[in-house]
Amino acid sequence: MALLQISEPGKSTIPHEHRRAVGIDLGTTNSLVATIISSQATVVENSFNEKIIPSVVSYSKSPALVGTDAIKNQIIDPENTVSSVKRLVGKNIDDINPESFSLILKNHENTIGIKTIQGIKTPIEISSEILKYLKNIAEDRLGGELMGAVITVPAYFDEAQRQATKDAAKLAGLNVLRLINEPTAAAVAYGLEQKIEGNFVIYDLGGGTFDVSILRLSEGLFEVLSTHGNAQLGGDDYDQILAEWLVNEDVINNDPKVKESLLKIARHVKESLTNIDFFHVDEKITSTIHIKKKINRSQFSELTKSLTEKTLTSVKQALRDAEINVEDIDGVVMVGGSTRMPSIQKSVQRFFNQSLLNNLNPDEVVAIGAAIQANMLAGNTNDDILLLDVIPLSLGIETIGEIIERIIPRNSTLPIAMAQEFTTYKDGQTAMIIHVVQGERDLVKDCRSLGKFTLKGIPPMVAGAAKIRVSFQVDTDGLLSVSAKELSTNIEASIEVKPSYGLSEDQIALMLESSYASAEDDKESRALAEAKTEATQLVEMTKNALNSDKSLLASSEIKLIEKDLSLLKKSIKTNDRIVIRELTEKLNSTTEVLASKRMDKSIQKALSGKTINSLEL
Amino acid sequence: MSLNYYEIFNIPAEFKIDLKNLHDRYGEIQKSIHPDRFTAATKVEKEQSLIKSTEINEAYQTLKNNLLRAKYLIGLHHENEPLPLSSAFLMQQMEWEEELEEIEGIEPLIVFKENIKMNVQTETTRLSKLLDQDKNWEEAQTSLGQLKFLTNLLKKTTELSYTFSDN
Repeated sequence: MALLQISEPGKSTIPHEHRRAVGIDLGTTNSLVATIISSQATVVENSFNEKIIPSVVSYSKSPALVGTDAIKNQIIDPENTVSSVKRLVGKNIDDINPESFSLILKNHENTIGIKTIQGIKTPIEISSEILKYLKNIAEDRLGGELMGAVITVPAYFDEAQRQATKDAAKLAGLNVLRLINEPTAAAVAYGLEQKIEGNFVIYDLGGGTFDVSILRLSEGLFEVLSTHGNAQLGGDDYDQILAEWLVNEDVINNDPKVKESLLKIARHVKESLTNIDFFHVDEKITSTIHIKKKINRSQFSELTKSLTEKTLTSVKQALRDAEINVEDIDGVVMVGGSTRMPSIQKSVQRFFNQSLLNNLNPDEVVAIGAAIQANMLAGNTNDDILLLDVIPLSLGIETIGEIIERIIPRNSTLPIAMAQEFTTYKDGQTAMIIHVVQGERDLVKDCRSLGKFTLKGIPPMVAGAAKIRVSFQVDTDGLLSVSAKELSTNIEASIEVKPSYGLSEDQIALMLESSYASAEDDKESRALAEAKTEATQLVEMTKNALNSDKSLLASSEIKLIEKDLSLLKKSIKTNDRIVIRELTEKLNSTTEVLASKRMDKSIQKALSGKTINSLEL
Repeated sequence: MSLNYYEIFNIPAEFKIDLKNLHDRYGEIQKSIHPDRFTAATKVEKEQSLIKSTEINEAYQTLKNNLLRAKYLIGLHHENEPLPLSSAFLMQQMEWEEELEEIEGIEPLIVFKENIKMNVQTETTRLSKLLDQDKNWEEAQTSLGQLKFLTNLLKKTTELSYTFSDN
């Protein structure tokens, strides 16, 4: 029967060509790009055979240097070399402690600006340099332009940080297939390759961030039950403590060059203690500072005990949020280079009272998982796996007394939409400021402000008579849009906002334009080509959808679609971009009913195996 | 023609629910309509997939939670505002709250917690009968109000037991 023959709507039209898709682990300390090469998830190497690219950007020369080349400049020219930029992404100057950064920071158009000899650079621009670098090495390896990328972010990254990451990707010319949480990517790497099911803890201690997530894997469905973490805790802090122990603190903060050298030594000591029990430091840093000290493994774990304890406090909180006991955990996945430290392995193993999943390279796990997910999203596999993510922090709006009214509670599965009704508190009030905030605390000042917008045109009424419905929609990337509407009269006032942080669409477009720096003609012909491609795609997809699901529509609806379809087809042959765009939009809107009905049919089909009294067997 | 949450999953509209079955159905539906399945689709298909997927999530979040499910089920049959809780229950509330405030050690707290847990179970059973057998929506609303209070109290007690055991 026709009913049973429908193909999956999203996959129906594009022929089975392999699309180039990558997974990117954009880390605080290091970044990696991975892809599927002959059905194996592989981390891509740059031309110097390096897989792990330091997340360091140097503006000493133009164009900017990234990775190992930039690191070389860190000691020569620390003022123009930026590391750990991820800690600044999506933040403004009040969110951070400038003293923990050696570079000159300033408030710059809602975000942070870092002064370099090539001008003021924002964290988005700096991150995009890293992403551009990764994009280039992947395209060199794969021999062509990328269709898209999955980029990982820490699970508790808030709205602003996710948006900033996505903006950085756009600026780097990457099509973002999806932002996914780092721990979720790690679970994909383990879950898919080894087919385990159950409740899992992902313990991820990277260079600059700590993340823990509780995941449930069952029948091809990944659900994040809870996440917790600390954005200011990572392997770097272990280095810092060790460096402070090696000399006294004042020396460290005095001179950036001395600080860099000391941290480098500390890192070396830390890494060495993973393989050997005992280390002897004998290094001359300047003419006055010469370090001669001995340290063993247990001394080091004692020294850094409070840091490890902090991670376990987060683990406890995540378990509580997931309402799961330690005994119900079926596996603990170790992610991030810092989990190589024997003291951490030991503490986590003791806490969960079981051996750890650590047989994949902890530096590569996240990128590998992202690559597998990217490959799936690009439609290159037939895997019946779906990744469901949750929103890490609650979203709400400010009400009287600076108290937050939650609209979307944290850990809601994405995508999600929720609305709440509010009213005016003054007679004749015609406008309302809607202040969107994110966080778990009750007071506005303890949460993160995402943006404000004003709803105007409320008809004057007595206090409490107006009904204002504020709706939040969070998409699968965890990105938010907010709208507000007055309901009590027929007058409708609504507004869509993008929270007021990061870059606007226009700003990104402008930056992209200027980076192309191409002639007007080029721009026009590129725009025309894009419009034609999109139109052709829509024509193909509509034809196929109509072929298989004509029966869902009334004949008048079919006629309307067929008319718009033939109009668009004809227009493609002309070179009129504006007409092509208009007719594309038109067909898009006439096919809405078809798309909606096909979706309903998919739901029916999905459940058909589940219904006992099915007559259509 | 919009379906109610039970109809979406094609399961009986009852308070008693097979969570495993619900989860399976939820998974099957999301696998067929989730935006991840439409990365190469048309704009309209992407939008529709986002709308439907959001709807399914809303329905699933509501049905998988006892309190939300009961409220939703009552709402399908009954529109009146819930009656205020009985004065007997209000008295009992105050007694429990006072008792909790005076507890200082972990052992009496565990005893208290077990007692509340039992009350939650009893009230859940009562609510289940009121909804699925008696179809007494009015009384079910009162029962739901009491269950809400008990669930919150249990949560508060559990959180307190964490602070006790952390110190």
